[in-house]
Amino acid sequence: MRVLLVEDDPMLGEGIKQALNDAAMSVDHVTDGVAALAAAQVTEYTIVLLDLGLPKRDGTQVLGQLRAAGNKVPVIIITARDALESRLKGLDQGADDYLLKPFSIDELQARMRAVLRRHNNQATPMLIAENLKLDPASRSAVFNEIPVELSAREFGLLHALMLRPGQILSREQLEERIYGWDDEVASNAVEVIIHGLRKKLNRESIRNVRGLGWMVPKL
Amino acid sequence: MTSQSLRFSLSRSILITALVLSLFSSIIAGWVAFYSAREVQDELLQSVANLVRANQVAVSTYVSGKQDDEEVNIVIKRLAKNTSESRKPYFPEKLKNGFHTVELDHDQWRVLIISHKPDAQRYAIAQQTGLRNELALASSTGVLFPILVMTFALLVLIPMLVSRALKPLRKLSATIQTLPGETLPPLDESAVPSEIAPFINAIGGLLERNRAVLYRQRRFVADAAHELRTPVAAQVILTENLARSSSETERRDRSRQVKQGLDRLQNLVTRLLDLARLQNHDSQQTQPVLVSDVVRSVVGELQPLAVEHGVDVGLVKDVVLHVLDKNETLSQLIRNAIENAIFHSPENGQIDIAITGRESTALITVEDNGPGIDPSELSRVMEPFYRSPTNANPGSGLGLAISQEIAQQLNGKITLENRSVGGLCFRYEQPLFEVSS
Repeated sequence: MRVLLVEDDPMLGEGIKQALNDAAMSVDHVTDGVAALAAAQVTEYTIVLLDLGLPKRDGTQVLGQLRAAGNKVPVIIITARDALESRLKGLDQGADDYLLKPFSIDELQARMRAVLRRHNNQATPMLIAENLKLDPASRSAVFNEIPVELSAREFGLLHALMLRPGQILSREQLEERIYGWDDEVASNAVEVIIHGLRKKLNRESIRNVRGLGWMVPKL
Repeated sequence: MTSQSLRFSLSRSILITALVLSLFSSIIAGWVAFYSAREVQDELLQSVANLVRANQVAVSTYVSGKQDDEEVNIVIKRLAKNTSESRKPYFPEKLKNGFHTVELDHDQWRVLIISHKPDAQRYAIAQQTGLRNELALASSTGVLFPILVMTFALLVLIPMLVSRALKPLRKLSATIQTLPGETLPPLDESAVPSEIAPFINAIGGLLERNRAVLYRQRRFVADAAHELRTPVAAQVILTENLARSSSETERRDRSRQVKQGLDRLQNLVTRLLDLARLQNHDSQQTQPVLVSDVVRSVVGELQPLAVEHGVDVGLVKDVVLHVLDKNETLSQLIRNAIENAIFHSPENGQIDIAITGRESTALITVEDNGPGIDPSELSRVMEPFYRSPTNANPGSGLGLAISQEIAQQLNGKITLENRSVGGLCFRYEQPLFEVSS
């Protein structure tokens, strides 16, 4: 899961990034509105965490411009502005949720999962594919009713695939979804992770479509 | 003190003036009528005297006739020592030639005494003054009547007109009363009389200033809440991260971050309290201080910080000047200035402090060779919580706001300007305190 974190306070930004990294997400942290727009243009993020009081370009402007450009990425506003007016404005501008500072990292993560569920039209918290269930909250997988331990990268990749079972993702798309700017990516990194996953599950759990990429079969 | 109704006092003074004026004009009219009637009467007597001189009238007769529908009776009598044979009225013989007003048997007479040339016989030509007085009375009542009518009309009209003239004021006050306390819209001064407009203007100005103060305070509270939320949020997250550390090095790293966060919170809270204390104007001790003493002690305190940042801080000019300090806030202002200079100086930077006097003001300058301030931000850096987006050192954003507050209370003035050679020049001016020795 690739997260764009837009927060101008370096300490809070660093703290959130650390916490999300602990939860097997890769986080790109920018500190102003212009950089946020630039990042969202070149990278397809799973979710955006957006502070409102930003230098150069205000958070609501960033959100407005994102939506105007047709970018449908889920956005959670994290801000200290508690006035009803600014909350309503944020949601009306196209934010998917609104989180008031200070907040617990658990609440942030729960809200991120909820937003992603809605975004992907899932009714249940579990991501479900053929023979395979993934619980984003506990980051655990169940394959043929047997629990499977996953590393952070393995969870990240499986999560990317299971958000849309049946959809083929290329190597570049997978890399983009699981690695941040700061991560060194080896040329065969995706293949290595998939190889590990197939060993833990089975060959058929993740299917390769030659020349296109990988997918998990629909239930 | 009872409040005066403008309507009442205006009506009252106009009415009293009108009444006094009517009274005066009736008296004057009566007076004028009295004297002009006497002149007419005297002319009449004079004409009769001319007839007597020409022997055309028999003496001891009444001349009767009509003049302007009024009966005119004139008596012509020879004055004699022996008055027994004569009929009334008797005019005393001692009257000199000329006009007289005499009273005989409760009747007032106007008498003209003349001497007839051939035998020096003296005659009295007389007429009762009743006619004359009637004329005068008629004249003054003639003037009095319309004035009385006018006065009664005024009695009714004036309160009405005054009330009508004051209507815009009543409307305005009614409008103001219905205004909600939250907002103070600009008042329309074209709807009120021009005499009241300056007053409305002044009130408007006062409201405007109040609104600005209120806005500033609201914004400060909102900003303060906002500024507290972010560091607290960081603190919550950092503490949670610490609890989740998976290795000893990670734990050490994360507890250092928590400590930094706490330092920042503590600093912010201290600054906020400083500002609140400054804005609370109570209990202020004022005392004259030697500027040089204050600067020297601050530089001494900040020496370790300067060394830590590899910055050379020095005093390049010093003169003996006294200014008034309140609650030792001057040293806080100077400390903020030098601290800022240290934080924004490059490694091996140099900070020059100078104390100079100009006429009746003391001038303290702090010059650094850091990056200076972007001209577009110069006007905003003194606002509470304003932090330059290019500033890598996250301070409380309150330092300059506090200095500004201190400067205002010490009657001083802070100016920030970029030096032509690069870097920032902080200037602080304050009126001198004249030490009486």
